[in-house]
Amino acid sequence: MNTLTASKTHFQAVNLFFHKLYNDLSNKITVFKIKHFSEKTDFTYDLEAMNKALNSPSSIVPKSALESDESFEKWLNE
Amino acid sequence: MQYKIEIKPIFKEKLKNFGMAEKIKIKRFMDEFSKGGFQSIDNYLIQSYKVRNKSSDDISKEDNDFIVKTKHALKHKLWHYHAGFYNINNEYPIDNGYKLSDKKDLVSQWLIHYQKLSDSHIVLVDIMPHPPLNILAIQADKVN
Repeated sequence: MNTLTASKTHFQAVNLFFHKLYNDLSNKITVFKIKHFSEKTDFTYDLEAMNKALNSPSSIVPKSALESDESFEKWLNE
Repeated sequence: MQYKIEIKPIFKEKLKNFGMAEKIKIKRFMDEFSKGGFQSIDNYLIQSYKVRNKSSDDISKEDNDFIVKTKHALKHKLWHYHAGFYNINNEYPIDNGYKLSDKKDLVSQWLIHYQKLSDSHIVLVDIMPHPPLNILAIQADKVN
């Protein structure tokens, strides 16, 4: 039983090690790609605001809303 | 091909509060996409120049959260289109909200953030200035 518990703990430790290694490597690759392959940019965005928007339900924009400025305004105020 | 546009509530709420000129520019973007998708919006010209439209995974290296944001943009398939408002301090004179970039395309301070779910399906997520600005300062500038 003790051997089994020890093996399980060992497996979890190894699993954690590789999980951490994967995350570290993934982050290092992302940094490398950004530093060496991306163009210079000042682009950024508000992560919190974006997540808030992404987590809300969306609705379809009807074709009729785009027919004229008046129909667009009417759809906006629905 | 049928083109589908969805919209998040915050986008619609902000849109309601913009002036007519800004509403018309956003409607123009939506209208172009509904007619011909990315082929249409990528080839829409203002004074002979294209408007910048690209994936949002090129976060500034100066941003402390640039790894998180880059991954976030890729995960959610975030793109942005330069909205074309406002002409603050007359730095964005083209179409009253754009300036010509070094790459010879049009850029503006405000961006339409959207998800590109496919070549024929987008979700309008939010509309924001970049880099993040003080909205009150913009309003004051407009008044002055």
